[in-house]
Amino acid sequence: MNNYGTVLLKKACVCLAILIGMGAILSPVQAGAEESSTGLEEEKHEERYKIDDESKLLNYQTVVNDKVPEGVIFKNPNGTIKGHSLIAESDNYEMYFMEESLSIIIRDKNTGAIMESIVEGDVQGNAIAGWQSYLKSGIVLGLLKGINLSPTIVGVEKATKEVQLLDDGFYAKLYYDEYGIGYDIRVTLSDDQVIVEIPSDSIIEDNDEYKIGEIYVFPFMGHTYLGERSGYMFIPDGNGALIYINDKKGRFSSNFSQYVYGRNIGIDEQSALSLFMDRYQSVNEAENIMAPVFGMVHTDSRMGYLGIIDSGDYSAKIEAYPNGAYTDYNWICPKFILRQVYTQPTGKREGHVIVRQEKRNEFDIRVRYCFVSGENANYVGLALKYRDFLLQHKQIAPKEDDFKIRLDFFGIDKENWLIFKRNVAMTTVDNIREIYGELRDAGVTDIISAYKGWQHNGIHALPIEKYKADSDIGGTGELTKLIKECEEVGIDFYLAQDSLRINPALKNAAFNVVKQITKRVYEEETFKDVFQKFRYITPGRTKEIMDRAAKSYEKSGVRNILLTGITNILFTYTHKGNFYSRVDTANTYESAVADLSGKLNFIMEKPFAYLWKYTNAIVDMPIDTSDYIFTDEEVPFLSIALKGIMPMYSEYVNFEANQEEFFLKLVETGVFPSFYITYEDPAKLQYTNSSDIYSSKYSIYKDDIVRYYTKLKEINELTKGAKITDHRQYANGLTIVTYDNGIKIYLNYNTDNALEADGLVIEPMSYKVGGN
Amino acid sequence: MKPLKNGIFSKSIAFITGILISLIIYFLFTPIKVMADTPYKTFTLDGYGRIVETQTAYIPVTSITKVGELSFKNASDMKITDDEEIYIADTGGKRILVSDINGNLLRVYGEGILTEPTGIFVTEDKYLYVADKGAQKIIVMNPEGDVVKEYTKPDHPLYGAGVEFKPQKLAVDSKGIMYILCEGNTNGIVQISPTDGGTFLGYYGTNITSVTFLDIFRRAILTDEQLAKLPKNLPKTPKNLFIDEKGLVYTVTQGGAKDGTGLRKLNVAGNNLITPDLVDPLPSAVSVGNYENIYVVSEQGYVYEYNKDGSLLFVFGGKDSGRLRIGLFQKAVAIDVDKSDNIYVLDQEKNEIQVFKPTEFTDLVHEALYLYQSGRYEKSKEPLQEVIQMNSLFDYANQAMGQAYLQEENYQVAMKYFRMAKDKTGYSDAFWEVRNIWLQDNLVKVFLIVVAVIVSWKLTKYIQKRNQLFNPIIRRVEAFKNKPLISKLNYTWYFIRHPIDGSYGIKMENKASYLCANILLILFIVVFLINKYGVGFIIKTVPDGRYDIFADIGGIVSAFLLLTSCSYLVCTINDGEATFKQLYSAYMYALGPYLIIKIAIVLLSNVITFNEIFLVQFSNFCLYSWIGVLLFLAIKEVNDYSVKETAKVIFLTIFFALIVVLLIFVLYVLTTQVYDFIESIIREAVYRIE
Repeated sequence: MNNYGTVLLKKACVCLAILIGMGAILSPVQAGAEESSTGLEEEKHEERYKIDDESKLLNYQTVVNDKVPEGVIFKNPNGTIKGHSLIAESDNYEMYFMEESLSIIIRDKNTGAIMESIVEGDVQGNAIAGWQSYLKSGIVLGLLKGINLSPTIVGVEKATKEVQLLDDGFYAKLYYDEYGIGYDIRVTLSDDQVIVEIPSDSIIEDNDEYKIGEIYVFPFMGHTYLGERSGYMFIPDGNGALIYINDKKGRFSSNFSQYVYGRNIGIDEQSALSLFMDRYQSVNEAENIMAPVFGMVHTDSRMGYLGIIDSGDYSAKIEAYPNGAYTDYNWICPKFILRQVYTQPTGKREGHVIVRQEKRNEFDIRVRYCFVSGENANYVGLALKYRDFLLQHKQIAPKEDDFKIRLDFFGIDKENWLIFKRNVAMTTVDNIREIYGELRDAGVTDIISAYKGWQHNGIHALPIEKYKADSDIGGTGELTKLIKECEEVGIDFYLAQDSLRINPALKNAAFNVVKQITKRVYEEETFKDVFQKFRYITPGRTKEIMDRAAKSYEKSGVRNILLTGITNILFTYTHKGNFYSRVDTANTYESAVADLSGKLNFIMEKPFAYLWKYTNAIVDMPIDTSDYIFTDEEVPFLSIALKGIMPMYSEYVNFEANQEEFFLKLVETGVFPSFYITYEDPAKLQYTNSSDIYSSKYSIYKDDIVRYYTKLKEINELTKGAKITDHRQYANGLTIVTYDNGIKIYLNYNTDNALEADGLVIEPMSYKVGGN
Repeated sequence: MKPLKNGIFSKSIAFITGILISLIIYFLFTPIKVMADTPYKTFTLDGYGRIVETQTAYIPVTSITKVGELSFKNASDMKITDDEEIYIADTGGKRILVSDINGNLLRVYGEGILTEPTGIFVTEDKYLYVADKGAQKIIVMNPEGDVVKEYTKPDHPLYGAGVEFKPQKLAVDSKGIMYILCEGNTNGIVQISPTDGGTFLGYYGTNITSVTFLDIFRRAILTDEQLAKLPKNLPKTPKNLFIDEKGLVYTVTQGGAKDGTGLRKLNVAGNNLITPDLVDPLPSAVSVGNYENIYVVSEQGYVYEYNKDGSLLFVFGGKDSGRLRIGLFQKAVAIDVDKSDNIYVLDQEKNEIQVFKPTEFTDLVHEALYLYQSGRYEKSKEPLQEVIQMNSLFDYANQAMGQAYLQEENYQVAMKYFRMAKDKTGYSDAFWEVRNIWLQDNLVKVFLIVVAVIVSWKLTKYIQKRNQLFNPIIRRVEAFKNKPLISKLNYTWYFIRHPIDGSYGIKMENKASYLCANILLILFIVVFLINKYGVGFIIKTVPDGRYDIFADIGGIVSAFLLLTSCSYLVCTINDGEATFKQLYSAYMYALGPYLIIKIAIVLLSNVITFNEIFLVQFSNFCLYSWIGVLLFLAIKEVNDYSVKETAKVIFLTIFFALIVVLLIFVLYVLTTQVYDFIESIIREAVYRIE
């Protein structure tokens, strides 16, 4: 033992020596830090930052290169820039146009900064052949030749153009003799927006062999080369993500490419499953893009734009290419999908043919580029532009933004038992009453709840066609009574309705189910034990069922419905031999919801932007992103845009492994907290389809509920009705959110060091409210 | 439980050092705000070994793609030293890169010297051992980068003259003895000591091979030449290995998920100390963390964390097949852990090192581990309680909690947790204590009750003898017994004690009847179900609360029908004299002992522990032998066979039954094929028409 003790002592000394050495050597190396080393003692070390040194501290400023290169600022252009002539002017911006490449340059009149839409002169660096068209053409088409899987990329050089200059822009008719393809395009400048329109009925397809597959709109608008410029591209992943336009040093060989409003299950194959032990789905799906926006900001020239896909968002993809992915340029653009090539299986196990989509997806394309300058040339400016757009174009009716805590209750699910399936009741109506009572005593009064699994046969008895609650939770009468009581007390009580799925094990799912373009019935696999597959109801039938259910609800005075399923998916499908595109699906869903929005109050789960005008709140708002490898920084773009005009409720706190951090995120984004509660222990659910609810027992979460409520309500009292005007994230973990009523919230995400800002000291992993 | 005396001291040093270093680490780490909603899910095991989802255990914080300006290509190994330096075997670049955890270049080793460095190991004093597969030698460099020693193929006769020396991975213990995995060498881990310029010590820790029934069959049947053509049943070479500070060797082997070789923890003698409860079929690297917990990464990108006994704590990760999201892997080849429990995984195809940080949840689990393993059971209950609150199915936590309560002598609660964790040994121990206490409290009462019962029984008999008081009752019972059905049912009792006479009775005295046999069959099914679901917890084979009665009944009935029919058919062919009815009844009577004894066994099993389990096993043995004998005699007597004939008939029956099963299976397959065919024709027709 003596020997052992000595060895240990030696090890301890060595460790201490190394620590001291490291502390001394490594302290000045800390990026952005202006001071000192760590001590060896366990005291918290205080760092103090003065905000006027922010140029060194903001996260994205790590790509700062204060020198703006040549050819970016034009103070006195005299009507031409780089071969483009001035054709339109507004208060703050000018638009220049070059006919042969159909490209535009936008110039900020105040600063002289420009944004180009093509690469001028020689192409620099690596650019794989075949990508040249993107670099040199304002509109790029991807044509499908026969059943070739890869589209033929065509720029505007080969087309015959008829260009007509307008007061505020231009109108061009293009036609490709070689391919028999033609379309019209109109580009106008109005205030700070450039609006690009390609009407659907202007598209000509004369040739049988060549058909339009994809249309890229201004792919190189705002592009930069390698790491020459500073700034970032904004992608609408989750709540918002930034891809810096610094030199990526060949790290990426492919690009970001995601459908707006989620992938198309009707045509596209699912990416290869990662099944753990060949049974368990081990990968979480990426978030679906909820808002059809994208952006590019040049922080060195202080100019940027937010692209909003006003029309055509149902069938569009956002593509972002960091340098190294196929070219050495950074670019971001929308891509509209008009046709696809797919494999049609001809046998159950093998054999297929390649088919080109017969009928084109028909929709008008309209993209708005909203330009920002100066102080507003950052993601906050983009978010504010998006908010203005939503309010101006009535995409959102502003709602009261009062703080409420969301407590969802789980009712019933089924497990296999003997020869039939039996109910597992987790929370009854009486349980809910008891919970509300206890919480009221603890001071929690502003509550919004959704009851999931209330219906007869539980949460997976889908679709819900009438108002009938399961007797195991108390029965329909009791539920109606509870709803009335909640109304009187001021608790918003919603019933959950999944209008998308049908459970073949419990209902007849032979008719009116979604078939893919291959005419195969689409089945969603759950990888669970009780119900293995679900099917989707056709949108037409969804509308019928929703109407029927609504009548049943109204009879009992039930008005509040949480709508899930159809709010977060779009697909092409075939039904009775007819082909329906995503556009048709979206229109049907919208009309189903619109018809009922007068009679019922909807809140929706992760709704796409086109449904925002019908919902009273957005539920399961993503706070983070899907962690793509390109993402350099996460920003709460959507929360900044929506805070103050639409109440947002987060995903469930239960399943967060870092609860402290999640709490701070709620404080930062102004999203309200949500808990998923069961009265019984969730171990009872282990043999049901809901076995992934591993933590939800009320008695365990009660204290957390009260804590979240008290703290967050305090903050929201100060920010009620106010909108966010500024948001800054610093490299040391400090975040400052500014509201238009002067309130500032300071957050410290650093786990060890306290930070100082504006005279306030913020402890590690906590926040302070300042301002007036 | 034995507290680790040595362990406590070193553990506390480690713990304190850990705290100090974590302060520094958190200062150095750029605090990127990463949320806990990761691209991959995290799983753990419940008590039955089923995989359940749980809170995220580790979140990806950063990734190292370049060391300074240098990138690495096709890197095959990575080690992290105690002072947080990362050594990377840059196989494609033929060098070893040393980086700090931020990706800054510290040193480069081996440029111009190495040919194909595939495995590395760094000792405490920063000596770098490189397994250079291309140069076929082990190269040792001092911290300055000078080559101080080279080891080539040992020329010891035991090594094997024809066996090449192609070192792939290696580990070095505190005495400088090298444990080397060589490509193509299936004899085990090559052990070389540094004395005398490299002495071959022998092969260490060879994997066992398993012999299947098929192998035995083959060896018996095939000729030597044919045997020589078959692939040899050689032990698998481990894929990777690691040595912890105690000198224990950890190996992972691909394809060893089922036979116990997947993950092994070997002591000095080469004996495996653990039986992990879940092993990946394709592990590629192993490492040890700060609480003797074991980390394994599989080629597909799943990261497993076990405690020191091989109980799975977490598994997470996944394959990046074009999803382009962080935290997923294309081909993971190395894993290591730093002092703050951050995990580093090297992806050979993506050419990057992904760094993961534990979440608050995982920190709780580690804290519980640490306290528990240092014997502080009382204190370990706090973090364990929190873990269980966050996930009540977390098997390891329930088990540890049970142990904690056991130590505290709170046996009732310990039993509850052991049952949750399905830990039968622990449950048995706790139950023993509970029973002990119960007996101590109640033994006198039980004794008195037994005496009372005996006395009253004797008294009743005496009264009956004297006064014939119960005659009417006795007469009624007799009358009831004489009813034909009841008498036949009663015959069971006679049959099992006198099988030969009983069989005679069946044949000649019309003691067989379908109704009786059916009732017995139903009783049999009932007892079977009671046995399956009601037997004591420590013997139970089905999970608590799960019932599959429909399948059970179906199984028994069809098995019974199959065997009875087959035996009847075989008997008829072999000049047996039995009719179907007779055989059927005989079998049912023969199962009589089951009805009676099994119930007793079930009751017994509910009050015993593993110490007395031999009682149950013995009773079962007696029961089944008795039934076996009865069946044999039944067939013999009812058919009037000799012993030899009976044996032949039984063998034929079994064979015939197997054939019938095969036939049914073939029919099933054919039918599904026909169905598929028709379906695809319809589909194609539908498609063409539209």
